[in-house]
Amino acid sequence: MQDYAQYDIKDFLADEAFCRWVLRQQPADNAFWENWLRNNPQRAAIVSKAKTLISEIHHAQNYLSEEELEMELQRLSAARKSATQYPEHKESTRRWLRPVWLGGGALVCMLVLFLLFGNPLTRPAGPRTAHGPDSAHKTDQWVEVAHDGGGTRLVSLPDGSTVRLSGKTRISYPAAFVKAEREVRLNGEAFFEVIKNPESPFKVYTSDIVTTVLGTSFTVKAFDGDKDVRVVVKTGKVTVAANTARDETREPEKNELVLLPNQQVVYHREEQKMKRSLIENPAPVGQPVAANLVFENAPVARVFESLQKQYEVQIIYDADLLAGCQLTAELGQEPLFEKLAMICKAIQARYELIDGQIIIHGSSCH
Amino acid sequence: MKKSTPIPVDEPLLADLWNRFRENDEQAFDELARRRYRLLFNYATRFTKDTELIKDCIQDLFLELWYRRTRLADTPYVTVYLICALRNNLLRKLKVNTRLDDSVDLAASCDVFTDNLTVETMLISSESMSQNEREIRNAINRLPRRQQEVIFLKFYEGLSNEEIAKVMDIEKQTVANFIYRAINQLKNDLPSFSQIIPQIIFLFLSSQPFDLQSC
Repeated sequence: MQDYAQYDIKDFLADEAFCRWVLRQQPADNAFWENWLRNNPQRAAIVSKAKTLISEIHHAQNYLSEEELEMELQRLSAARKSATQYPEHKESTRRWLRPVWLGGGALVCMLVLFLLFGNPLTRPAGPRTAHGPDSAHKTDQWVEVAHDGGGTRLVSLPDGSTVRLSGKTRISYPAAFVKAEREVRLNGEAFFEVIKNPESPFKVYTSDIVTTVLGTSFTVKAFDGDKDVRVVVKTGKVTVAANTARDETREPEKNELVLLPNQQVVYHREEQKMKRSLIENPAPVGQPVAANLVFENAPVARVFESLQKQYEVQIIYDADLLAGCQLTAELGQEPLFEKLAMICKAIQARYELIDGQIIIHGSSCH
Repeated sequence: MKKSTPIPVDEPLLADLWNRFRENDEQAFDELARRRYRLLFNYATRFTKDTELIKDCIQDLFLELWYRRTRLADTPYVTVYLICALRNNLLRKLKVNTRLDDSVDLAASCDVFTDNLTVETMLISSESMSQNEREIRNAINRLPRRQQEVIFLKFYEGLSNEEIAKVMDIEKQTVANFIYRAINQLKNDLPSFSQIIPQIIFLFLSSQPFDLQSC
């Protein structure tokens, strides 16, 4: 038994049992400390001070607002749903490997569209236009395919993945994917169909950004203009990062974003910054054309839920505040933002887009 | 006395949610994330101030768990499991991002991230914080990274020294040393701590004869 009577405030702070009492307030601890304080009334002040400090130290380390918490939980829930839609098939026997993404042999589709303006297309793909991180390795045999004609040209990659090149496009790739990652370098516009291999991520390097396949089935679409580069996700999940190979001084961790369905990233070349947002006209995810949604005096929360499900977007709203709001509407093939505008008009609310999520600002409908 | 919000004692419930989500229960998975997201986020701020990176790391962690759900083992220590997993992921990610080789001390590399950014760049939900708490936050952020981590695990999550030692893979005695050093530093930095210095001196003096008696 500790001699608490001799404790100063630092001792109390360091004491495990004391902290457990303050932070968890379990009945057994309550009984002990209340009893102890009765027997040591002269220590009440210091105990009270120590309790307050522990409480404050606890609170001071909270950096997450309620709104952010809700947003992230919804984002996670949406990602989990799309992961469930495309379940894995392979039973991995290598449990100890702890790969981040386990998946089946599902065919992964990726469309990367890069339009490079003012970029001489006859220049061979080299470190200046597109880097793999190990582009200095001279031993690697790289194959380059250029397509300058009309239509598209199909290229088969060593792992069985295929790439459909648009005009004025050049791609280079290793003759064999021997490294841990499958890297290709692209200059122009291409549609990728990538064989999924969880042990070997597939990466598309362009001059400014790196697009990485993380898991399940998805589509990426990116525009590379003179100022911006854009990557858009339809289903599944990809990571987009700045290509830091040419600038070691930059802090790379600031320049990586994970994209979920109907989200896009715009990379501003001058500021070297990426911003995540919803695409201009989010499309319903996955399933064939859904039937019109008919609501009759439905709680508005239910309407939002069905939109969230249909478009796999996150809609953030104050459920308590809007609890009394009802809606009678038929939602058909009009774009998502038109639907939102209609709903908001009906319940006298407005919506806002923040970081790829839809935020509803409304008031009670009593 | 200031109201204190106790840490919810929901570990047994968590173990139940864990088992249910391993059997494909999606709601149990969402609920588990809901109950531990804040802890994990706040813990990660001890490694990097980049909140977007933190969010992505935690998303990746939970999605990885979802993918591997059928192969996850039963565990009664879900919270410590999650903390350890996030810690590994964060250190790996920060290490990859800095392109360091193994010889470089990881803790040192994390300090680089922490020190380069001022406290002000962090999202501060300050309206809910008292002046005292803000000063405490700043004082904590000035501690060496590993002391920050110990202080977080001890005072935010209420882990025992033994659990902290397990999470950080250090000796229990080292944890105790970190705690004493950090508390001393906080005491020097914090006016609210200093207010009671007279009391401490008084108690220190008064405890002298007590010591002698007990010998």
